[in-house]
Amino acid sequence: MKRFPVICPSCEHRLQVKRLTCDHCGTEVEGIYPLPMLAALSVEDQAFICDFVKASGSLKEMAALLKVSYPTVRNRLDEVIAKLQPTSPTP
Amino acid sequence: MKLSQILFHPFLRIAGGPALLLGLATITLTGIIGAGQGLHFDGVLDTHTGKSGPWWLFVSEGLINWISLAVLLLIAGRTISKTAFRSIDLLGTQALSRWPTVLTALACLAPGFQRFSKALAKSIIGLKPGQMPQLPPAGPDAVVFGLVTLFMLACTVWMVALMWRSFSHCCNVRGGKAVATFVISLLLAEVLSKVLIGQLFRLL
Repeated sequence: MKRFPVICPSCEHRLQVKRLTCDHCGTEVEGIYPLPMLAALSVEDQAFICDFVKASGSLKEMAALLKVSYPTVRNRLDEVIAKLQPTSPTP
Repeated sequence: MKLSQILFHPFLRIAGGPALLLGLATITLTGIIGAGQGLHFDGVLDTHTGKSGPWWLFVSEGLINWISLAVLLLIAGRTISKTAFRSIDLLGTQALSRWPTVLTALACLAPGFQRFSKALAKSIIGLKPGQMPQLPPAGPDAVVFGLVTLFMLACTVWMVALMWRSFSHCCNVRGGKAVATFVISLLLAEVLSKVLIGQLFRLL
């Protein structure tokens, strides 16, 4: 399965969207759009956030779901929070 | 879970209440095994053979060692950590970090170790100042004594590694500042536990 690229393979900076296409009518929009905050995260981080929302934000439930300890989930969440900070250069 | 993770970083999988229960069970077990042979854990990092006594004294030593370090690390963690961690995780994993002491207590049950330490203690007790002790003769018991001592040392290093992992993981702290805080807390806890155990002996 193709992975959605968020990092430039050449210089490792965050990629931006240049072109959007409508599948239905073929209209194309061109410009420079920054990726939405969540889309800029890695697939693993996005999956973690999805699981977190599905667990109603309960770290205890997440720990049971992932079969890890509470501090392990807490630390994972801290990592994702750090990546979402505006000062964070790349995900 | 890999073996190295089970041995050196079990807190990826276990923390909180279950770690606390398991930790308290291992501290109690160590105390009971130690009571039968006069093996004292009379300080956070100490292991000594000495006088026997009631089983609760040996269990209390373990509990004092655990709580001395856990409380100091809790204060240190609250000071330096930027994350909202749970006290139960640090208390529980610190208790579980002491589980290598069970192995130490079991290793000290070796008859050769028992015989050699008794002979060693006999040669030192009643020694006058300036007098050289007459050490027990080298033999199989001396070899067992040496091996068990090395094993005890390894278990202590392992226990300290687990204590660090527990602090680092539960408070989510890393780097030089975290290491320095841990070392200072460990040294302070060693002094605190010695004082508290000294007070405990006065009760007898």
